[in-house]
Formats: sequence, structure tokens, C-alpha cells
Amino acid sequence: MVRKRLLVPGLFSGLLFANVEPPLPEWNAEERSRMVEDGWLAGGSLLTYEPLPAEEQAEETPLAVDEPTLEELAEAEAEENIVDEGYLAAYFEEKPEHYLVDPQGLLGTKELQDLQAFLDYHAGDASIDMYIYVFDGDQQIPGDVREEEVVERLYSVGKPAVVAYYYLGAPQRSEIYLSPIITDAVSAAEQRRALKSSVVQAFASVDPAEQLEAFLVQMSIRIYWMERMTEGTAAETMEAIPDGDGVRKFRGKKAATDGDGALPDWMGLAGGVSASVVGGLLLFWSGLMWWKSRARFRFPEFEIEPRLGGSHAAGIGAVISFCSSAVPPARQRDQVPDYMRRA
Amino acid sequence: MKCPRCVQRIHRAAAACPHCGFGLADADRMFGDGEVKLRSLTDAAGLFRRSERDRIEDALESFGTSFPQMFVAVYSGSLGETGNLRQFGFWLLNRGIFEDVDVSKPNEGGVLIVIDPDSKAAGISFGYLLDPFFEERDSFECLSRAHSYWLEGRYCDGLLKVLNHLGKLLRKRCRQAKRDPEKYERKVATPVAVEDLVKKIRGGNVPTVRQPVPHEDKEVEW
Repeated sequence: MVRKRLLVPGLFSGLLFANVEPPLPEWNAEERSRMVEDGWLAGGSLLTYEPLPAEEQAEETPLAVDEPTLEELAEAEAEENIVDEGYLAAYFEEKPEHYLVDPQGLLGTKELQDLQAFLDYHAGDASIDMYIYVFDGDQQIPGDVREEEVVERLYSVGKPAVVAYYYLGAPQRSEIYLSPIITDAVSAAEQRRALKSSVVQAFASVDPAEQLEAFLVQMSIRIYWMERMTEGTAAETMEAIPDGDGVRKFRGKKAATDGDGALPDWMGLAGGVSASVVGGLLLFWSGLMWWKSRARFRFPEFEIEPRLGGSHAAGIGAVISFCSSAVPPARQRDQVPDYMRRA
Repeated sequence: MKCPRCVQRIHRAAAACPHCGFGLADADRMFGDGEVKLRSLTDAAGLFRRSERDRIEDALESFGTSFPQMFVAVYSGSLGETGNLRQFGFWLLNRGIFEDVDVSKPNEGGVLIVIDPDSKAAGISFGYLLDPFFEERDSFECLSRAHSYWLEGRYCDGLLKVLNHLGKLLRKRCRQAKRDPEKYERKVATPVAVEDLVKKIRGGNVPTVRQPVPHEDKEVEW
């Protein structure tokens, strides 16, 4: 009992003492002065109530450097990755023989062949060709090369074309130009949309070659719409083709025509055969039901002597009781007279 | 062939049951000796609703179309404590005139289904046309189809099951009868009397009579 009386005050006193913090340590004056004289006071700015001394900022003396000249600035630009002069002729001098222009050999052999085959297929299927000039991702076309001028010079004659300058690994830097003959028919907005959607499709992959492939596929699709525009058969709504789902839907449609994702022939044949078999069975069943409905059954008539005085009938069949489920028909096979059967 | 009262076997041409003496006259005493006009579907017990009556009448008509010689009649009503179903069926098929049945179909081609909801029993009776082709066990099979439905009070469904099975069975018998009619004819052929049988046998044995051999008279020349 005594312990319990002391317990509560003891707990309260403990809590009180717990809230009281011990005092911070303070410098002994003699020790402090001695350490200051020595030149270094450990934690001198911490264990003291004196304000922190203001930091002394060293005075900066400006460098005596001349401003860069124009030549120096040009040299700095020259350090960027610009297409070597040796390749410029291959790129821009003449109309290329192949639809994929990669004189720098940025693409692998197989990738080059695959993309070339795709572009050849596109050319055979479309009325607007697609030429792709491949550059490195951080390369710059020399300033003296004007892309528009190249297109006008090389692609004004012959089959109309879409010329794309593609930067491998950086599709967002790509640019497209149209042959002058179709520039008026295809609005700038549509050109921007085509480029934007192709770039978006390219970013679906991280591999530069796959990006280029996706870019080309999407551009091929957009060229199809450009063809419709140039033919004048495109509706006004085609101008507002969304870059998102609408394009993907078309792509799916085009993929279906190309055979990608389409049902195999054998499935179509199997479906047709199944439908014909089911139809045949239904027809047969209908005919059978009709025949059955029209069937007539006649019994041979024999001379029957009357029985029990009945001039028409004396045939007695079974009598079955359904008063209880405990008496199923199986237990009623032995027929008994009516007077021996009770309800 | 069985007696409607004692359910004992009787001769096919018996004028009265040799066991209990039952005859049509006994049935007339029980149910009346005059002709009774009724329809093929007589629901005296009120078992069927209007829609069910339509269904049953359609089934009866379909049966009559498939079997031009026959018709099916259904009677529901209370027949007393003992439920003289067989006797009532025998009497009704001989005394009943079914107004909605074509005159070309006599009661010999009738099949009567009697349902007694009070005694919870049902039976089948049939005319002379089906005597060679329809047996007691066939009618038992037909009624068994309806047992579970009638237990639950679903009289219409049960009756349709009976009609359906009856039709199947009769179609089968009809085909069998066409293939081998003699088999069924033997069942109902009039038995030959014993005396006639002896005459028949004896008429086949003709005794031989000796004929005299003629002699020729000839003169002998010396």
C-alpha cells in the first residue's frame, strides 16, 4: 500500500525532471584565452553565445581578358559536328539513285537493305516517292546548303517526292520538304502533322534504326493522304486528321491491306465451310420437320369381333396413380382392379 | 384383352367377362345407357387454364392429322372414391359422341385418356382399331411420362408428354405393321373351331378304292 502511494508521485516527478534540459557546456575563460592565443579555437563559433563573426569576403579582381572576336566565334562553331565536305556531293549534288541516302554509312548493311526495300515498295505503290537523307544525330548541315533549294533543284522534275532529312537517334530534328509540284496541294499544316506523327512513332523505340523504320512507315502512311489531297479526292475532314488514334487506325487499316494482322486464308475458308455446313444442317432439319408434319400414318384394318358388348371399343390400357412420389410408375407395373386401388 | 373391372384376361370375342361377368350393360348401369355428347377435350374437373386448353387442342389436332384414322380424347373429372377409370373409359368410348371429331373417324379409332384428380389416377382406353397394335404396357409407358408432372399438378404438361410419346409409339407400330401385317393380324384373327379343324384334317385323307380289272374274252382256234 505504501508502495502504491509513492508510485504516482514518483512517476510525476520523473516526468518533470525529464523536461528539464541540462545546461550547455561553457568555456572556461582561462582555457579559452589560451586556445585563442594558440591561434585556433575548436568549435569557437559554436560553444559561445557571441554572434558569428561576419565572413570576410575576398575582393575579386576582374580578369583582364579581351572579348572574343568574330573569327574566334566561328572557330567555336566549327568545333560542332558538321557534315564533312566529302559527303556533301553525295548528299546534295545530284538526285540520288536510291531512296535512302546514307553516304556516311551510319546504318548497318542489313538495316540499309531493309529500309531500302521498304522505300522501293513504297515507290512502287505510291504516286509520291519518299527520299530519306540520313545524318547523325548531332550533325549539322553546312550553312551554305539550303534544303529548300536542294529540293527545288532536284525534285521539280519527275515524280513528286517527299524529302526528309532525318537525324539518326534524334528524330525530333527531322525536317521534310515537298516537291514544288505538290507543295501547293498539301498544306503546311498537313506537312507539320505528317512530320509530327512520324516523329512520335519514331520515339516508340529507342533503337535508332527502329526509330527510322517507324518514321518511314508513318511517313508513308501520311504520304498516302497527301496523294489523296493532290488528287483532289480528299475530303475537308482529311485536313483535320488527328495525329493520334486516327492515324493508328489508318495504319491498322493499311496493315490489313498489307496482310499484317489480317486473318489467314485458311480461317476464312474454315469459317465459310462451317457456315455452309450449319446452313445445310438447318435446311435438312427444316425439311425433315416439314416432311414429318406432312407424314400420314395408317394402320391396316382388321376384322375385330366385338367384346363385352362394346360395339366400338373394349381396349383397356394401364391405369397409373400419381397420388404420391413414394409410388413411382415402376412400382405400378402390375395392374390391379380399380376397387383394389385407393386414392 | 382384359376385363375393365377385374383386369383379368378374357377372350378376344367374349361377350362378358368369364371371371366377373362384366359387360357394357354393367357400365350403362353405372354411368347411363344413353349416348353422351362431348368434345374431344372435356375438362369437367377444371384442370386446365385457357392457354393450356389451346395447347392441348392443338396437340390433339396435330395427332389427328398425323393419324387420319384416329383421334385422341381427353376427359378429366371425378369418378368417385374407387375411380372406375377403366370401366368409365370403356363406357365412354362406346357411348360417347365426340362432336368435334370428324365423322370419318369412328370411335373404333379413338384413344381416350381419363384423368381423375380426386383419386389421383389416369388411364387410357382405346378402340378396336388399335387392338392388334396397342397393348397395356404401351399405355403404361405413355402414362409414365406424365407421372412426375401430374405429381406437381402440371396436368397440361403431363398430358402433352403422354400425347407426344403416344404419337411416337404409334408411328413406330405403324411402320412395323406395314412391314409385317400378318404378325398383327394373327393377334386378332378369329380362332378356328376345333370341329372345323378336325374336318379340315380329315378332308385331306381320301381312302383308295379298288377298281375291278376288266378281263378280255377271246375264242381259242383249234
